[in-house]
Amino acid sequence: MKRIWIPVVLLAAIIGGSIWALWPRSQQGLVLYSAVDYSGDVAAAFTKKTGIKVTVIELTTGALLAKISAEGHRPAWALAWFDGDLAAAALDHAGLVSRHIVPQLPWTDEGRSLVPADGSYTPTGLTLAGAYTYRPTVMSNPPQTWTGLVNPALHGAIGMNNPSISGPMYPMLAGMLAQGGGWPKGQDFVLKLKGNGLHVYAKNKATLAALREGDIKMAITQSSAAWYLAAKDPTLRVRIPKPAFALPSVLVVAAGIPAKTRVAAERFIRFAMNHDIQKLRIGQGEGDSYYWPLTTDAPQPKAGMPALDTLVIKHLNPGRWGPIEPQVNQWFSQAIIGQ
Amino acid sequence: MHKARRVALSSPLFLVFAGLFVYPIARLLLMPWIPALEPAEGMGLHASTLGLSPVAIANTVRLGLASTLVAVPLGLGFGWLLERRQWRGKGLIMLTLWLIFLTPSYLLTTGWQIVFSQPMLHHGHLAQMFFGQAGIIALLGLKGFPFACLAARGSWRAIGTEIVDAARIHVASAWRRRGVLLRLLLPAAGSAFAIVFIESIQEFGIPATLGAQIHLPIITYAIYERLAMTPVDFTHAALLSWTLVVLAAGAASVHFYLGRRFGSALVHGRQRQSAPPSCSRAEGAVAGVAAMALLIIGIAIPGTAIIHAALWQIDPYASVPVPWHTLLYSTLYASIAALLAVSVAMLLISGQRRARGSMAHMVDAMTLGNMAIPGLVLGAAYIIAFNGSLLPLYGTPGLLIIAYVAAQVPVLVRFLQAPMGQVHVSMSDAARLHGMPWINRAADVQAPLLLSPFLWGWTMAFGQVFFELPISELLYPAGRAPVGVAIVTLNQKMHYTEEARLALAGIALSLVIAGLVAAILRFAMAPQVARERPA
Repeated sequence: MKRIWIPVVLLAAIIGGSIWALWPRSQQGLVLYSAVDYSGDVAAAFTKKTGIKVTVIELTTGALLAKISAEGHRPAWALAWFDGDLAAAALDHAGLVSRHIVPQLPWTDEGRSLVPADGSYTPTGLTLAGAYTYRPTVMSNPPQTWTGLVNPALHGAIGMNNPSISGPMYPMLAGMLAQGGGWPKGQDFVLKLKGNGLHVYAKNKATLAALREGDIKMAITQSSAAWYLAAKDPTLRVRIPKPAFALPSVLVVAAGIPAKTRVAAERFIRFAMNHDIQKLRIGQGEGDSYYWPLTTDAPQPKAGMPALDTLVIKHLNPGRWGPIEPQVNQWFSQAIIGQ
Repeated sequence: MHKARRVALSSPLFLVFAGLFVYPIARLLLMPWIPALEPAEGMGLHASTLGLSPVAIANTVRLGLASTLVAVPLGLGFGWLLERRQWRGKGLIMLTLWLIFLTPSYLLTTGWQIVFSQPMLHHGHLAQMFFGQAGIIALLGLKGFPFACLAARGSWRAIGTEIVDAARIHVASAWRRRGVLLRLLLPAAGSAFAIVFIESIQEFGIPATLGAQIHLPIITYAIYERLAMTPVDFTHAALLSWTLVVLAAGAASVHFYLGRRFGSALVHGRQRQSAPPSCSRAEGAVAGVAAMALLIIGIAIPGTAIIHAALWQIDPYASVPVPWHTLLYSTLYASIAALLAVSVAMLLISGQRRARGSMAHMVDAMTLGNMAIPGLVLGAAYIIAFNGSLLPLYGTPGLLIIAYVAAQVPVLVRFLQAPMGQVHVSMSDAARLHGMPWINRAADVQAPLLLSPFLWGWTMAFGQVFFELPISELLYPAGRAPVGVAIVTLNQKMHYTEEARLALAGIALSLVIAGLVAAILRFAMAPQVARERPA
């Protein structure tokens, strides 16, 4: 009988010790939900400079948006950093983010064009929604445009991510539809692509693995993932199609947070955009560091990336394409994937 | 008077249970009809259609049933071998069983993916089968097999030699004798069926990864489609989740029916233990082949691929530090959550046995939602429920642990119902008649009998929580990320080597902890068992 108390006491000690060890001990300060890989370094630098503590919660883009949506009008976050102005516009549409938070910065022309009229999100860098990654030994002359993808010579050679599962793919799909004449007219173009043997994988990992294994000859992914892969695997090359669709990383501030927190959040945004910190983001980051800066005082992008003015970049209207995302993705699932 | 006292004692417990485990999921499931329950106004209004076809339901049921048909007979067979026969390879089977159980499904899938990415296999017939329905069913069945085996072992162990001897005397036909045995196993088979089927229908990762190219419509795909929208469409995700809840309720009713129709109290005071006979030559040969096949398919091949990935850089990216500290957090979360989950499950089962009323079944049915609904939706339900001014638990480790417990309790209830139901109430009654206080009855009569299911249940919940991902991702407190989140973060950043190292260390650590706790508890209970035997 007495022996039973040994495990009981032991288990009580485990529970007590565990809860003590896990309970947060200090104020969280600014809570940043982040799906970009350099956010930890930026937050540390911000705290060092200002003394304001930043708690970074690293999430995948999908989980980040699910968390923000579930918190609704009682946000536990102050700032969120992720790729996609269409998603940011949709959050704004649902009243979940603060407006007029964009700081006065020396924007480039491209940067200025990405700043929303209501100031609901700050574009912090530019990536492209669709970049072609290929192996020159297998594909010597990849297409230069979107219409080139339906060339019968490329039957079964192209792979992309599923936009219903992989967040950054929706802007690319929206771009393809826009190229094909808008929504719903552009469906014909995407259906032609399907007829030409388009492969659709779940996420980047599967698409890039298919490229590595020779199942496909060319992968369409976000440009940052494409450059990152090509930088590490010298047998791969990246081609940016004409036009390319803008996919900026954005910072948003939660709606309805205390004024003091909002001031600190806006200070963080200005900090993240200054020259030294952009240098840190480009130098210290991993895949997400492959972006084109949007301010004139920023450092040069990573080596190997083409100059922005050599590219033809199209910016989709977030107010038009953001709200129809469910409809478009549902059509894609049914008509293209068959799910 | 006794009844009034019992009601007074059980009411607060019921309220706590309902508030922490039933309310969040009920609130989510009622959202389609009561828009005021949504976290932000009008979030579910932007989607017009459900996007769920009868084909998706049919495919989900087919995958669930097929994987269950793989797992349950295998579980019954290996359970028989482990409990009813003496065989030298038992240790190896147990190790394989636990390794399959503890390896998260995403890691098992990755291991096999690495294997089939080899040029010599990649375009072959086997690879085509693997990246299709056969592969999905095989992996779901493999992941369900340990549940089935653990459930079956309890019953094989409880069926004493007296029953077999009595059957030999009273039932002439050998086939009918086997039928009697199988009938006694039906409650355990029902429990295994319900667990494996429900776990399979709510799985998203395996079908999404392996079935990417066959484009198989399933229910979880439609749910995840709603979760990938901005802002997330919880209303329609909840509506679609009802389909899974109804299917889970169907599986649970099979379990209830088998338990009620064929359940029996097999463990009683007059039971005698006897050593199982050795395997015959034919049985040994079959057991050897089956165990080797399981070891090779379940662990050796995918494990070698993962170890290869962990020890040699198969991906070309610069190495990053492995976040080893996440192992500590996961150990702490899993230890507490498993302990609470198994305790709540056992309390619920004993409450059900006493109540035997519709209330007991209602509680049971309500917890089904927690089991059937995919983790990401469950995590969101907990944010929505506990992000208000009343009980603002969101952001604390407490809520993460509560959500883990909520996810584990229904599985444990189904798993433990059969072994707990087999302990005859007369044993506790006899002790009470002899004037033994309740604390002694609990410690000296019930605890030794329930120690084994408690241990299995704890270890099972520990293993499940240790690598849990979707709930963790949404609810983990800042700066205290569990290992599942760290593994996925490494995967997102394409650091596959570090991901594999962390996952392997996690499996090793959870094996060691499970073994350690089992050893401590067995040591604590051993003297009582030893004293009972000579009598």
